[in-house]
Amino acid sequence: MPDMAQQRAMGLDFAGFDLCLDAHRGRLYGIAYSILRNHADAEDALQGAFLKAWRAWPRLEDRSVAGAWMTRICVNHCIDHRRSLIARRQRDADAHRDAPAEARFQAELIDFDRAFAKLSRRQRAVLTLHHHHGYSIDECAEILGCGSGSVRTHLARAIARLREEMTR
Amino acid sequence: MKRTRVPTDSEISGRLAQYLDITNGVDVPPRIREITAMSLNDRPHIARLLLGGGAVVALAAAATAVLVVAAHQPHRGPVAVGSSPSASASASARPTATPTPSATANPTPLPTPASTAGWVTVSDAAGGYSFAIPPSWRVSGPCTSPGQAPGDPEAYEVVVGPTPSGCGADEADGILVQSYAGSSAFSTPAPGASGVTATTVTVDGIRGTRYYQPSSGCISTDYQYVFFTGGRVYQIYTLGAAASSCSVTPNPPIQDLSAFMEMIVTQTWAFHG
Repeated sequence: MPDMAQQRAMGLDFAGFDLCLDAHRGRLYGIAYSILRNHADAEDALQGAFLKAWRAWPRLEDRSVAGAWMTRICVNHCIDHRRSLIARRQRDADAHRDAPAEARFQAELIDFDRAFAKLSRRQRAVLTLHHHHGYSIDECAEILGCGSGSVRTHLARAIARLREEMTR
Repeated sequence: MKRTRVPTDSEISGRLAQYLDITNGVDVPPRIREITAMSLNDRPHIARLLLGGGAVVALAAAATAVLVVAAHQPHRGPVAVGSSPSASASASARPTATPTPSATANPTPLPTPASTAGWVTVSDAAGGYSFAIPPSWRVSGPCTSPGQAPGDPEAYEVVVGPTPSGCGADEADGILVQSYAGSSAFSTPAPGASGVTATTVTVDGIRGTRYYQPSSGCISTDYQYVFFTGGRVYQIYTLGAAASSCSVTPNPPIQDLSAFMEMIVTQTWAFHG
């Protein structure tokens, strides 16, 4: 491992990045799991996201926004990761949807889990960020790199889809 | 027992809160807990990047394209935004070819082309459309994306651009084309929100809407075309750069392909529904 002087010369900051990881990894894993809905994908996606973040870390000038910055990397990486697996997911889609919900869910949440599974990854991301983590519409748009109108649409469609599924 | 009544907003919110408490509270597995800057830095390609100063080359996943790509013959004149319907295009028999892969992580600004001459045609039979792209561009997809459209689990997606990153790449990677059954569009800017402009357009005889939402803070400029025909929705969109004042920009700057998207949609697009 390079010493501190070498790290600075190379634009590296192991300790700073580790502090950021420690502060946010639990929250980010929860977000990844909520978007991808299984541990294997969440782990893979988050590893890739952390790698991407470490690669870009020297270019982050304002460390006070590191949490939001890393959230943005992770959310988008999870969405992309899911997409890269889409062919396999589609092949397994029916079996996946019909599989019994994991035992951790109480009985009344099993149906909700199935409904949540039918949302798109962007819809899941927006619901998680906005409803659980309290990000505003504009903050969600910044994280997802889309327009605030798109976020509102994702939210509205997600709730409508949940309502439709819960009605059945 | 199945529900037979429509749940209220508060019931949905309550369930959602319960559910997200669980999914966001899962234990972090050891594999993630043990990640440190040092362990990441030990990855060979990252060490090379950070310590060797070498250029990054993004190795895009091999596209599983089953699209028909052929030399593009301008089959009809430009269709002006807001103009009357033009004669519809017909899909001619086309030889197949594989898009030429190219990859670079840091795109340089692209000059806006003068015409679509020499472009190659991309035809998606399942999606029911075709269009043309510059010959050096790559095609990513088509992918079948479940859950993109409400009530319709299947949306065909294609991303085209200089360097789209694999099947199902994002609109930040190029120009994203979606086609799905339905009568309402997925994810359009909300009319009236933050300067959204919606303009009526006619392309290949089909009326549609062009949305434009300017950049605001870290939010990228959003360009979209939406058409409804034959019981399907067609959405074509791309993103422009976020404002230069944005400090939360971990990804490489988005390459603004809006000028290309205008040419693709207004000069080369055809519906085959």
